[in-house]
Amino acid sequence: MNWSFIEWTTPGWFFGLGPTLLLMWWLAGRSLHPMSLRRRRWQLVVRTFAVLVALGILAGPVRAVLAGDRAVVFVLDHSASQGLGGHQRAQAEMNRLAASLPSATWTAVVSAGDAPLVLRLPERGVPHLTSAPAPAPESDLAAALELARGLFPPDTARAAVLLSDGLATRGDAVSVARDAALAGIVVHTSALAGDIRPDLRIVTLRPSRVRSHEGAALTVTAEVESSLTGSGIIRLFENGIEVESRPLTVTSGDTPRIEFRRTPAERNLYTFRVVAQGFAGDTVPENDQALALVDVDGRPRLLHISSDPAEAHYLADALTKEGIRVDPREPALMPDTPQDLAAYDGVILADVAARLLSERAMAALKDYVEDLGGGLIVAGGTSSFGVGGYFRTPLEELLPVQMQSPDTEEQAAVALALVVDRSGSMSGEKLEFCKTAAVATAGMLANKDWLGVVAFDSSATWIVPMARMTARGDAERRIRAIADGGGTNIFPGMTEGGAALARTPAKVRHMIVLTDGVSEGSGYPQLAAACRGDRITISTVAVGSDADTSLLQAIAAAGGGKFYLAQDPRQVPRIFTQDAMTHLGKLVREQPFQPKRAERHPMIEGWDAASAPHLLGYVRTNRRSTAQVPLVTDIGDPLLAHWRFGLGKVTAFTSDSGSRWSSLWLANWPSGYVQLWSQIIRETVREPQGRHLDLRLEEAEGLAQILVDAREDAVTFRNGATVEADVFHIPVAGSSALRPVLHTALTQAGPGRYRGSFRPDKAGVYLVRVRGAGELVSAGLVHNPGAEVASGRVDRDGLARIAKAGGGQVLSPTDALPLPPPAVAAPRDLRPWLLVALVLILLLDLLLRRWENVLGVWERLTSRA
Amino acid sequence: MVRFLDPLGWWWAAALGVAILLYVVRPRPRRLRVATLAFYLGPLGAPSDTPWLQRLKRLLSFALTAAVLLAAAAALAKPVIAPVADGLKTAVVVVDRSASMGAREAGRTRLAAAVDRARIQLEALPPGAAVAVVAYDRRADIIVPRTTDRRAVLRALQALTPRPIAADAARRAAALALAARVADLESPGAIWECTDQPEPQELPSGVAYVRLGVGDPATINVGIAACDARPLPMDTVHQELYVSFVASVACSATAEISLDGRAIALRTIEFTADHLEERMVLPIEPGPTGGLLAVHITTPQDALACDDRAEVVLSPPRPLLVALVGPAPDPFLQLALAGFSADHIVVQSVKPADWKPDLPADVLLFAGWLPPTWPVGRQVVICDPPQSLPPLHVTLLPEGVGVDSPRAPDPGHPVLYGVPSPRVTLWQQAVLGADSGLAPLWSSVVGPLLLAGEVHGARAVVMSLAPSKSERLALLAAWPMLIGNSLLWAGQPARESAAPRRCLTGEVIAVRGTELRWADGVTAALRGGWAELDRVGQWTTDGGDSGTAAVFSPAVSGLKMAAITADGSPLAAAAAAASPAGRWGGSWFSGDLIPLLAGVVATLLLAEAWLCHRRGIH
Repeated sequence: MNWSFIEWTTPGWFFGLGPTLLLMWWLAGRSLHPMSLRRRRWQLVVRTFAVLVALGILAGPVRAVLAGDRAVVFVLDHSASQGLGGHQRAQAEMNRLAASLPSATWTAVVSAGDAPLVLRLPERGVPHLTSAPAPAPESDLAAALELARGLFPPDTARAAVLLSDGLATRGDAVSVARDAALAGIVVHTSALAGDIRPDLRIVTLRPSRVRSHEGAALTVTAEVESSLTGSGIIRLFENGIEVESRPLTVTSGDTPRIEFRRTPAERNLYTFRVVAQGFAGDTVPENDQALALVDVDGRPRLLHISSDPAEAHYLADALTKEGIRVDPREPALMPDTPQDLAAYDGVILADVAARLLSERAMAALKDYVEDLGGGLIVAGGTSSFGVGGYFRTPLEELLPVQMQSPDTEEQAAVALALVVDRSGSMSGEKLEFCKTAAVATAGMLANKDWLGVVAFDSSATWIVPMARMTARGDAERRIRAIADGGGTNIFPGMTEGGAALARTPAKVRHMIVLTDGVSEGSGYPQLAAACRGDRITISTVAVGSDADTSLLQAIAAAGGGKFYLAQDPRQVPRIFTQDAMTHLGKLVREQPFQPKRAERHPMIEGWDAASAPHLLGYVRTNRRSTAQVPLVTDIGDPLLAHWRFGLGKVTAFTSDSGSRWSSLWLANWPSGYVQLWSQIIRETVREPQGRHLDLRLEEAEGLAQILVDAREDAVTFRNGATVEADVFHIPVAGSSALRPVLHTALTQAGPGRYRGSFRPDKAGVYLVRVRGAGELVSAGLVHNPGAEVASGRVDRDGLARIAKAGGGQVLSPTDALPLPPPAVAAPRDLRPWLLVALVLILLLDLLLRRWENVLGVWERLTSRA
Repeated sequence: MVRFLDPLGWWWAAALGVAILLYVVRPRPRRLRVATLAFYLGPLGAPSDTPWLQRLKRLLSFALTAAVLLAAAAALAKPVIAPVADGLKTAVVVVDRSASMGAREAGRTRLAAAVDRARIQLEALPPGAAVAVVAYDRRADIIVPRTTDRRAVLRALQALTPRPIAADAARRAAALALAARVADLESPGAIWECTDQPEPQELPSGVAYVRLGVGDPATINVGIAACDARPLPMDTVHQELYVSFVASVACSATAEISLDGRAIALRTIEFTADHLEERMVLPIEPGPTGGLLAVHITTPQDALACDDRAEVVLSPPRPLLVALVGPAPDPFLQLALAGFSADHIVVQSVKPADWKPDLPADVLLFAGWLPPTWPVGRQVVICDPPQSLPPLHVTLLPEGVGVDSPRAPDPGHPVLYGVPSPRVTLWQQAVLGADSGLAPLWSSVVGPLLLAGEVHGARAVVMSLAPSKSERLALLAAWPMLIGNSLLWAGQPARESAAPRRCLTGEVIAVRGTELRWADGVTAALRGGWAELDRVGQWTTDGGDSGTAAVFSPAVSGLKMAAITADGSPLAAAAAAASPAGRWGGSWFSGDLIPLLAGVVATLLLAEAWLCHRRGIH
């Protein structure tokens, strides 16, 4: 140990030394104390020392020493890839290296597994481990090295030695080694192969390109490594669906490459997962799968939902000619998650009744448009808009038009009788939805309209007597109070309802009959025909499969109305509103008309409305105040309406896209039909990725950087934009559902450049969606940290990188451990020593001052002796 | 409350026994021979005290002696005044040393205030408890590994200085995770975090967490949160500068931007409570050698200096270097190329026989000729490809096809900037296709004739049209526009990558050489080829690397924190009020009491000397 110098924490106290000494000498100069001059001088000297020492204590003396101590922390890999044999070899190697160290060297041992463990705290001498932790399922070398950094005793020269196969499943050991080097710790590595046990693992899964174009062939290559002999199956999953499987037979030592050729036909982000299964004796199943990600670009893609395939092809054919891919589906098969819809640039709903779409699908559609920037085009028809039951649904919220007719108050009054079943079988959910339907239907009527609600079981009861809708609240309360009763007999209810409707002065009279059972009695068709004679139309609704559907169909046919079958009671409200809107004659107008331009809009740019043939009908709607309405009908109702909803756009075309109302366009003016619809589609659907927004993902130091370049146009950066990123995680195994990880606003770092970051910590795919300036782009990042192996493989390159970053070297089995360089000066507090000195000086001072008393004590002691 | 970390020190109080003994046991009266005159004159010259006064003086002298000895013994017992922290075996002090901790408030930095709070906590630890210190900014460092030497810990804490480096939640979480591992070595452990940030959302598990918060929300600071210059798209001369200024509170500031020392913009910025960020976008035209762009913002009472200045080294403008490779390029292509200013695009003709993949050029322009393999990693423009070259598929049309108004699926693409697709009439030579990231920009009835996109990570444009047969293309401005756009768009990544390195402070970058030198003359030795950029400004290495580093953090410049208590007062003040030290005032009466007792000893010794020598109290 070399003495160096003393540092003072608060040396300013020594400025008080001079005045203090002067004061002391001045005080002692004319002392009144009767002690001798010689004693007084001695006492002055001693007291001066005492004050000096006290000031020294105040100044905080610290002795700096150059500690020659060295410390070495060994990091032993205890992951499964090492096995018990590997652990023993690592300990033997550690002991060999430690034996070459001076005996006074501090040594500590850390185990690297899924979580780092301290096997030995710093002690001097060669470490002797009596036990070893069980093989860990993961190896996090970075965490172990970090923990090792915290174990070094103070003021020592430091080195860490990593004894491992270098195969980490988590963490960034190179970064940690680099940070250690910057903190003065040298990191050496020693390559140690683990036990070879039967194992088959997928080393990597590599696509031939990470960005591709739709229709382009793609090769996905799985590199396999085997230390077992056997057979099994290699399965390839594409976006969670198994698309290929191949038998594979391997012998120990084989490294086969399996190539899968895929041709993604559609634009999407493709996740490929390869899994090895069925290999008997495989001791490490965790490494039997791997992931890859391919971003496939391509033409715009639209989801075309139509309830009538025969009508759907007109629009689909026209769009296909324009290079737009159309994916036709029936309403029941419409995706019901925003993630599934995200694969499309837009969705077309062509004459689709709301009751054919699930609540979940409609909510997904809303999220798709609002949050994901998707486009929605709703084309009319006799089952769309108001007559499609869109009233008070999530779909109505999305649309730039409202379902009620623009001149409801000016129309003639209508009368509606709801004849609903309240028999015992309707109790519970059915009756509740029935009541909700009645309330919703009542809400559609104007004050001048008539409404009556009859509930029946074995007999009929007026819940809301037929009257004008002047007391809505009262009517709603009465409907809500309907309670279930006994048997089922529709006849009295229909009779009451028909009679009441006949008494009203309304020109349009309609009855809706709902039941879930088989009715007693007979003569229903005759009753319905009689009603028809009184200009009353009757629609019927059968709830569930137990209803007498043939009877209800007969009543509807005789009554001039429609029959509906609601398998799910939740459909009843939409059926009621749809039927009421249809039969009360307010919303569908089937008269030829010439479309008129109302506003300038790119959708109709270059489209000659004046030469367009007549359309034969449309659904009446009411424009929303913030919507744009480029085309109107002859009487000024919206024909083409458009608005932005959240990040997406929605367009409503209230006439149809098929042969019922657009037949003259299809037959005589196909070019205009194609032009209008292609322009509608291009203006509504999500803009192609990367038009003005470019997204890159980079992974470094355990962080994924999100880098976005935004432009106004080809030559101008976009500055000051709000750019937000959503990060989702798709796990490597199990469900392929997106799990939201992060929502963050990116900060602008330069002209048109925005940045953000997140930490990928789980194996799988991270999907990043960036929204900004009305565009949405997405990209994926595969976080494939690897898994444990049992092949005895050593990642020598990885170990070399760690050693290089840590300023150390890769130790061979014959190398001695290079001794760490000398340590820096270390501080030692000297105040306790000075305090002891102070006490002793004070005692000396006391003895000098009380010398007579000392003599007295001495005398007493000697006299007794 | 007062606690003694080393109670055995009280044994030194046994020295008091000596004092008591000497006080109690007096010398026996002795017979002395004195002169008679002296015997009688003595009492006249010095009036004698009354017996009770003599006893009082003796008692006072004894009391002073005892007090001195007791104070010394108490100091040896290491008394501290601090909150009780019984039972802890490991404490890890996590210190946020990021840039915002350098904000000066009430004459000292936030870091100094935080260290003071940590000191009080530390002095309350039981003597055997181990302490470690972890400091973090962009990276976490174990400053003091586990030790029981408090003095070493305090010295290390006092030696910490804020670094001009921004920390974020992820780095902070990593530091806390590291601290949790160290604290967990001997349970129960605790983490004391000194920071101006709010409590983390996820607390470290398994150990107690205490936040020693500092920071005053009213502190004034204005800083540069972002600053960068980039070449404008499709432009080889002009650049655009973007600067973002952020203030912590409403205030007024003056921003000055200079290029090579010449002021080019001066602006006074008024920040309001609702508008604490101001952005500036300026067009820049660098000189022939580039230039050094400096941005400086000043405001009175600015708390943080490290974010007040930013420098950007501008790359010199240089024309795009194009290598035209082909046997006999179309004359209209040559005409279009000849029309470009030499300041923007320089074309160098290369014969196919001289083709090599590493031709020194930003963009390779193949005209009627293709190399045997795709030049991987090079930006490419291909005119009239004579055959396929994977991933490019070419289906030649022997007769060609006239195309009127090619359909443009993506008219906003930079390659078509200023090109009126609907007014173009041209002659298509081949149908193009690609099984990679090349998307069609122009299509005719027979198929695509213009593609653009990326191949093997580099930009590529491919066109198959004969300008010499396309009167309404070749003689229109659209043709040189199309060629120029293609070359500039393809060459843009090469130009951006040539810009000098602009780094954030705290980045650890791989550099060449052995020494890194900052513009202010400070040097740092490079270890293992790594350099940590821990200062603001320009840097160079003796290996030839250079660049700039800056803090650039809206959170740092805005001194973002949530250190506000429910009643709105700064958390640091609230914490000080809650601690014993805060109640009793001054640092003499908090934490380590040894300096106080040493001061007491010195004062008593002086007082006793005065009483003894000047007042006859002994």
